[in-house]
Amino acid sequence: MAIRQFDYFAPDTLQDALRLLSEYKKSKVLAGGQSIIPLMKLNLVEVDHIIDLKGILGLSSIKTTRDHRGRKEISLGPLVTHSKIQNSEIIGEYCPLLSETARGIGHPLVRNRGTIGGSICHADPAADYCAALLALGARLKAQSSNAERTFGAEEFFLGPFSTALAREEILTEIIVPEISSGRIGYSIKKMSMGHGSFPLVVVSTLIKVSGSSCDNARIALAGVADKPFRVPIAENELIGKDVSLEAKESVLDAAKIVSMSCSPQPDLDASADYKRRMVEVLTRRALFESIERCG
Amino acid sequence: MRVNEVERTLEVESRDTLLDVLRDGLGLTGAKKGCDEAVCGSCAILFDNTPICSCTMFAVEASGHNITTIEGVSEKGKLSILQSKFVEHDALQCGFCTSGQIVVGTSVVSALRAQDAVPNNDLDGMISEEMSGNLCRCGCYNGIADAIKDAMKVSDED
Repeated sequence: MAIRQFDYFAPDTLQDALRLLSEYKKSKVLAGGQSIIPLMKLNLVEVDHIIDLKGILGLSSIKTTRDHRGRKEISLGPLVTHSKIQNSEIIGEYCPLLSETARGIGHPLVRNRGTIGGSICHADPAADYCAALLALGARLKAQSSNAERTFGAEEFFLGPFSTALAREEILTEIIVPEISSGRIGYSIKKMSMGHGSFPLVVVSTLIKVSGSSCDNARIALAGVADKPFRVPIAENELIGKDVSLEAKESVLDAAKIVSMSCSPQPDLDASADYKRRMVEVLTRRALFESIERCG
Repeated sequence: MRVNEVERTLEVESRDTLLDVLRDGLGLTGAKKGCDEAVCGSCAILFDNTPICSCTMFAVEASGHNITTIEGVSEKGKLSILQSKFVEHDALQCGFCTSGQIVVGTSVVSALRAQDAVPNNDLDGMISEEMSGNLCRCGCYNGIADAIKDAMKVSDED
């Protein structure tokens, strides 16, 4: 199908981009285009004006910062590509969950163009980053012409292809905690119909161990509800448990709870029951891997 | 934009994809429209030396950048090392995916040569992953991988 005509802008500054976004009511921003361009070809999105963000300096950096308590964090610009995240030394050292997430997205040609900001704002409820960012407890910053807002990951994703961003807001920063110091183990497991195909189910977990017991657990899912979510009841199964001895039972119980807490939709690829069963399997594997990675 | 080392200027509609402009605007029909949705890789070109799908990009986004298509891989009609290896290792049948395979393969050969070590010593796994965006319905994957591995061993002066 031919794409509908639109006007293309390539502003140099964020302020210009925000102004254009406010001025033109059927405008959308363009990052890597790997989500929006296929949608435009299928006429699934109405766009009269495209505002290309790639000419704006400062939106594709990766750097370490400190939060208000002095803990190390990693700040990413929205235009950082999946390839750059996959290969970044900073992210590999301080937040390898993000590296592993990026590595599993699509295939190299898509990863060379697609961006973390574009992916998150597109907010496919099954997208890889959604689960990882929830597990990490990421923060997201957005700007409009006259204000800046910060969202926790859990309040950012509202529903299928729907985020808390206002129409005239642009995501400007993604902040994730450092997970390399202390005994923190991570995992991301997903199921898709083929290598690089869109995920059907994604599970991401983080486990923190002190001594020999688990003192924090985070389990996040994507693809099995209309938005990504965490499962606190399952997380509580693991907190306080001795990871060397009691962990196995707790992991199996937690995986069962997670599987029962989701309401997957059947589709052409898999039935709801199959997805639910896969959630249990992937959660189990993710938790065991996280525990092992705690060292 | 600079295409295969030559500055080109064209008037396009903003909705024209880079693939359409390369093929219809510049007559560079080496890149193919296979799936038109960034799955098959038959439209692959190098954008500032990085392999991407030209079908999922607007031509206007390429303004000011460097593009290399399959037509730019051979020099003055002489096959590149990788192209010769493709012939030698029977890495094509119908040829539809071949432009994309060679463009991405060229990039993979350079990257592998520049690296000190292959992760997990799994060269086959790495090639398989780096080429996973280039599908071949004729099933020439083994020949393609062999051509890439062989091209890696040959130095630039040969």
